[in-house]
Amino acid sequence: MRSLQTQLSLGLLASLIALFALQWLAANFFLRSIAEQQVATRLEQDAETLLAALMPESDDRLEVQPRYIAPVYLRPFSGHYYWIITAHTRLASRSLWDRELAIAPLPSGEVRVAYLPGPQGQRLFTRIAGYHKLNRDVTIAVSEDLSAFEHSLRRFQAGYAAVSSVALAVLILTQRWILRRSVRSLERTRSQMSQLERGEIDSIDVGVPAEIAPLVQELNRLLVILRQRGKRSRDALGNLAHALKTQLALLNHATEHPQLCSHTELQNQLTEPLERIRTLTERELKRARLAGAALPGQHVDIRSELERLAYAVRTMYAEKSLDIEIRANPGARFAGDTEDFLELMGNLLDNAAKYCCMQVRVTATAPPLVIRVEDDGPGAADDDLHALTSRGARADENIPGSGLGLAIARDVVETYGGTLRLGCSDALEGFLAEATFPGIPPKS
Amino acid sequence: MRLLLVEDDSSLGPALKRALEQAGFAVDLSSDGPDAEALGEIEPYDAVVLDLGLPGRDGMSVLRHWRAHGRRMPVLILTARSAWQEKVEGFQAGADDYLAKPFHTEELLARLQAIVRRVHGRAEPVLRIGGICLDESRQVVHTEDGTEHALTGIEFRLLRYLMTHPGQVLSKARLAEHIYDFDDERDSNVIEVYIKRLRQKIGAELIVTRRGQGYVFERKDRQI
Repeated sequence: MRSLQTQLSLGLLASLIALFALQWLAANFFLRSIAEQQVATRLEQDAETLLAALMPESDDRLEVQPRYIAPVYLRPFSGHYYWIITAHTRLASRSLWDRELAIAPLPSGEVRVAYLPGPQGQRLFTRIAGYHKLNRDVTIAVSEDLSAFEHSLRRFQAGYAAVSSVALAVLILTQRWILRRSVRSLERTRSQMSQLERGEIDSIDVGVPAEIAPLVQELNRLLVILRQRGKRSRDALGNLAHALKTQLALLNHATEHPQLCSHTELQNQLTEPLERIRTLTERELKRARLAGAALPGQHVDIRSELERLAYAVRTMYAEKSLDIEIRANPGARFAGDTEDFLELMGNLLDNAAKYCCMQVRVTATAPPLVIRVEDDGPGAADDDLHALTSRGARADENIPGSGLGLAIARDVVETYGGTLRLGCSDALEGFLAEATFPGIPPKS
Repeated sequence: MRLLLVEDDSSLGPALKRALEQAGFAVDLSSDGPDAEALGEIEPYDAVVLDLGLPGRDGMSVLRHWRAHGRRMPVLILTARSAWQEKVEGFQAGADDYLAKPFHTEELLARLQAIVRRVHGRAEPVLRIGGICLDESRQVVHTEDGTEHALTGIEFRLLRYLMTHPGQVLSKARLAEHIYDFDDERDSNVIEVYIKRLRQKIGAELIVTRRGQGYVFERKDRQI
């Protein structure tokens, strides 16, 4: 799609050129026709004077009485000529010297106007008319050289074209300036869109030109709907999980009944599927509750959330007196949902806290956002790492304990298009989990 | 140990109450928020097991209320909400531990004992004071000579309370408060009978009578 600005500029340029060309042609046409009309009137008068001055000579030939001839017709090549055709003679003005005008006789009453080549190569504006005098047919052609007029006409044309070009340029520039100004408000909307994507704002300003205001309003409305829908389905899933788990707790409790304890096999037949249902519920419902990057307008202050989490984990493992170190710049942000972020980091931190001796380190660097969780525990063997990292490992195949937590952490990271790498920590010589988020490329 | 169990599920609540009583706790069961809040504020509980989704007032607010009013008893949140968001909020509100449903009763007991011990500054699952050793999971006591004595429910509760408050004068009323639950008939005279039975099992010199005041568990040698 070509930009609006280019489209508008090209359209305007084309229509302005057409307009100026039309004006130029029209001005030319009218100027010329006015001039020709005026000259034609004069020529007609001259022709009538000549007609009146035509007198029969003694030999019965018609001759123009010299005293009626205007001086311009006498001066050679003056630009004013006449040419009279009678039945027997051709009478030429003195100004023609001895050149001729190529004219055919016209029947009486007819008038023709034409441009004829003149004695010095000029174009002569000529009025030819047929008359009837003294029972004889007379054709009188009167010409005037319009070079001077045409010369001024060309100067006018050049001037007009120059003025038009300047006007065209000024108009195009003005239009571009106006367009830039109105596009600037779109520019603001565009930058707000990327802010929205990065989660810095949660709706777009509606102070935009009327043409795109409905678009922005619609977008804002969709955002609200999306957010509500997300919340509704989250709440529904939360309620479902709540109900399911309470019932599972009851079943679990029932399996611990003393009468069942003596029937170990029967008890196992109950506890194993129950445990599987528990892991499945836990993982699949959590996965379904992940908001992901689908909801714009959210961001998490990494440091403060990590500190809250660290407090929770320290309390959970109070007997260990954990040393949890958080290395994140204040203000570092995770573009996404708080619950998702806590789910990811909670599982990673819990895992680290469970296996560490006492030291856990969380490092967040950006951009791209990379969060590393390291501990000083025994780490994991290569085989286990491989099993843990294998993609697509489903909840029911996972080893209970750390496996489920890491699987959920992976689900979160993948929901955001990131990757979770598991390995060994160089610094603390224990387990390392590293989540990398490609993030939204910064837009200028 | 007197414990408040807050659980609104009509089947799980009573089932848990029985399990906790078997583990030697005097248990009060509450099934709604405002009731639980009031009980926790008035009664001297040694621990609370708190569900979050409660009718009337949600568990998180109840906990915040207690903490805001200086109630410091250890609280274990037992809930079906397993999102970390809620865990974090629970700890922020002042919880000491958080257990997600479904759970195993053993795990609940282990965690509960752990937070109670933490409050009393102990890390071991076995109480060892004054040369005797109380095994909380089996509810038996080992005396200095190595013999094992089984304890009845009330005896166990009484001895555990005495051993977790060594050197303190404990009135009969206070002892009764911590070993009986709300619905039991609290006859403080019966305490004398139980003290007598305990003295027969662990030796008379460990529990000293302070006339008109109560009893003191002597820490003649310090905690190991």
